Amino acid sequence: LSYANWRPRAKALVWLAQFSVVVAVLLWITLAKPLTLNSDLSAIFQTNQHGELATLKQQIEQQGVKTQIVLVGQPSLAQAIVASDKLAQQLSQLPGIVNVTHIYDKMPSAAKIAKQNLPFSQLLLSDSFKKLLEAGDGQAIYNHQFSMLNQLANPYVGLTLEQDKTLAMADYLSRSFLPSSGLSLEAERLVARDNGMTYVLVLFETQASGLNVNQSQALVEKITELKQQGDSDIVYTGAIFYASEASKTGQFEMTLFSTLSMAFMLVLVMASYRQLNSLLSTIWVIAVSGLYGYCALSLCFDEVSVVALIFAITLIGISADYSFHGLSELRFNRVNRLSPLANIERSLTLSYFTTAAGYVVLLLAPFELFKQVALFTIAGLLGAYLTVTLLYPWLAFKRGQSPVAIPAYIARINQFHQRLNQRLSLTKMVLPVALVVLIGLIASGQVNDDVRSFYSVSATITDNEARVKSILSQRTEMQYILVEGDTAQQVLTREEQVTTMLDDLRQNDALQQYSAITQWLPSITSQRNNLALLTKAQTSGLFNQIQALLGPIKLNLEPRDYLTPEHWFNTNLGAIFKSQWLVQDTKYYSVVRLAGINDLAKISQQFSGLEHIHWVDKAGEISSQVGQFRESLLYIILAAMAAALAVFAQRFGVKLACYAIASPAVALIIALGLSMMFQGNLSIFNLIAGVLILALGLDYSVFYAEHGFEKTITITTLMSALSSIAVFAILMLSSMPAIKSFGLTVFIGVCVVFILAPQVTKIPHRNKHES
Amino acid sequence: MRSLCLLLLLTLVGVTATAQTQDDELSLSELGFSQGVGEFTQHKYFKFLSKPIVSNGAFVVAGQDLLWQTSRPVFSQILLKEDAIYRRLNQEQPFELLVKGSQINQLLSAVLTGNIKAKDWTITTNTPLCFELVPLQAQMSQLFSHVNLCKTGDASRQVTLFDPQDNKTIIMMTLTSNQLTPAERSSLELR
Repeated sequence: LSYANWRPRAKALVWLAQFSVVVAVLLWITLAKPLTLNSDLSAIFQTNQHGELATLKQQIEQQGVKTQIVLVGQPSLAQAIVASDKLAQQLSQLPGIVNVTHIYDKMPSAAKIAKQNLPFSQLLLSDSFKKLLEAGDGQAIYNHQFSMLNQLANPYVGLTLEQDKTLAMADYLSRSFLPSSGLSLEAERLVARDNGMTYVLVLFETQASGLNVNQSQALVEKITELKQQGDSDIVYTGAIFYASEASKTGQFEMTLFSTLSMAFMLVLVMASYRQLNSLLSTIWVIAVSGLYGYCALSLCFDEVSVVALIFAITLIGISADYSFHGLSELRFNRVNRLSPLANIERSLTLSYFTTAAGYVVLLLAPFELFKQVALFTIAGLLGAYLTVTLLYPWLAFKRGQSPVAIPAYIARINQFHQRLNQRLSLTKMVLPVALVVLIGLIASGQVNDDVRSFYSVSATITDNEARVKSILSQRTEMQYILVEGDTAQQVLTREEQVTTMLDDLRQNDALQQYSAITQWLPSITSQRNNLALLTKAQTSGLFNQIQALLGPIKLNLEPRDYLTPEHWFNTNLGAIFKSQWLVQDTKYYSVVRLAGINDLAKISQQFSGLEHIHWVDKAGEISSQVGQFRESLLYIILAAMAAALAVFAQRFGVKLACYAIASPAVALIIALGLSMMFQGNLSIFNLIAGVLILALGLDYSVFYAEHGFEKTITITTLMSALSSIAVFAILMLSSMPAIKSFGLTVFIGVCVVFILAPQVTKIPHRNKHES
Repeated sequence: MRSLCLLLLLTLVGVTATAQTQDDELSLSELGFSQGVGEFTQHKYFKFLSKPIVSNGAFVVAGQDLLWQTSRPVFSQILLKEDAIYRRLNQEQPFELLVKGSQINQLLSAVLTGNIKAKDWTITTNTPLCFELVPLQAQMSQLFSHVNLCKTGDASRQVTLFDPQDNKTIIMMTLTSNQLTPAERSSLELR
């Protein structure tokens, strides 16, 4: 890729041709495939998973993302009903919202539930009733039966007693089947009470699971407006509220950071080059690089995370480097008008490939976020590289200016840097320090792979979620167990094994509650066992006391139909649990939901590695993938350094290559050490920042190795370092811990590498004259 | 003239009805108590049983909280709190949640303590000392088709609960004191 011998006009035409293609692609994208911004925080670390099970998990998770919860609180139920009706009506008019549910007039009557279940009496037993029968204590059984008979307000006793005098069916149906223990059905509403307030539950779904930025913001703004208009206490939670906040923060930070970066960049250009043309050229390079990045993203992704775009702002700082290299050469050196950038073209090309190679590493990451950042930057830098190498020569040819003197302050900085470089000894002073830091890093081993700590949400959102959970007495967890089987009965039997294990975990306080289909629909094997248990209890005389009170008990021992999923899911009770049962192709699946996990490690260990029973912990899975990627990233960094060493050794000789690699390597170690000191641990984002330090550091080494410690190189590396330092320092202002740590590490690394990079000039360059 | 008589008659009926309603509310309020202890005997009639199921025990009331303790033939305690109903079959065991929500327990508490709110029931008078209450909420009518509340003495009353299956529960309640000892008060705590 050397354009050195091309005429400036030919280069400009080539640039124009390829730019026209990109503009055409942009137009097509704008019309046919506009890129949407996704503000769903849970999608930041989305991985591309394939296979039936992965699709199923995504389906289950998307359902959770779509459903949003609002609680409308008023001092009395009547007031809460009026306020919730109004809110539901206003919500249903908003675009993007479907299925607003707040009236539960279709809840089945006790009589209907009893009628649907009575044909299966003596086949269905609650766990507590089963335990009583298994214990074989006749008095305890009678006490339980009599207390049910004696209850003042249990409709199921009156509805089932005549057909089932064991009271097993009444006991079975008397359990709550509502999704939360804090809810009760009153006046056709699901109601919860807290601190003297009555809350009515309003559920609504968003149309798409991937939450569009504008849509989520509009929805939440409307809800906030409704909250401010009325006197109701409105408490809410759901992915849309998280998404709205993320998009607001993302957009704010994107605007702020890009404005600050651009402003700093322009001041820098004006202070160094003192020419409007230089300013406009740099703006043009940054704009073109943004355009290329956007086109590449649009072509490869349908949706892009707002967080990825905040990361992508760093492109402003890196792409401007190319402009600085071009401008320094054209402005301060006497150049050949026909081939004005011939001196630096090779360095620019090498520089582009080292930086791009650094980002290619991120393309290998299993996470969409890193892929999006990498693609945007690689394509953006290509745009900047092509503009500088193809368009700048033509601009220089047209203007034909004589070189101007390098500003005095640059000369002073160069002198200071030269003195510092002389006093610093990479081998005697810096490397030992880096070695100590490295040993310290390895010894402490403080790494953080917890994906939940990479982004932060405001106290309002977390407080609302905590209040919803508290009001509803709901502690449903994100983790769940997926049971798989070839037949429905196989799934039910396997699920019963799961519930037995969960009961043990409950006994050991590892878990508070769970919700499983088999709590209401036992497998046929269990139904047979239940009947056998009742028969045995009767023949053992365990029902003698209740029979003395109610008359003889006749158990139905004739062959009959058992309760099956096909039948049960069509009953009113079964309909409530339908979302926990999935059929895909020829496979059956059930979801066991957990509430109040006290010992995640114990539960996870219990269910890991079982056949046909899948422990699903999305955050845990992603965290473990982050950990794996972090480990492989370390090896990738080492491999990249080895590759760079080989390339540099071939060009500059082994000793100079070692020096050229040592500067960024030392900068990387010191940056990681200081980041660890400030953060208390290191995350994947610090290591990714390390890749960038390496890429930028190698760029500086290439320029110093090629051109020596000259003023024009100082101005270029200084401008480049200052622009990078500014952009990454700005990222440290981010509210996202991930972005903040990335900015911090690159900031420190670039500062160190800028100081150390000229060390390479102390070693004679064996090919300098050839180049 | 006939029209005038009819109008007069209708007006009189209206006045009587209004007076009757005012009397009902007055009498109903006389039936209510907000604090006290007492004893009860309960006869539960199932339509397929010839003999009732009889039990007896004691109750403690303080505001919206009510402890219903059956002593014979089998011990059990039902605790009605503001937002839920709890049960236990053994005093050594903690209470277990039976029903969450305030509607059932508030209505049940109202029936047993006589603190009837007109908005929850259609109230008619059967005899001078008896009221028939029909729940207005559909969910409540799944529990009781109607309730008869009768004053049987200065400190006693009879509550009859009819369920939609035509089974009935007759409860004879006698208030023995309207003061609570600390032990009785603490028995209303969820422990």
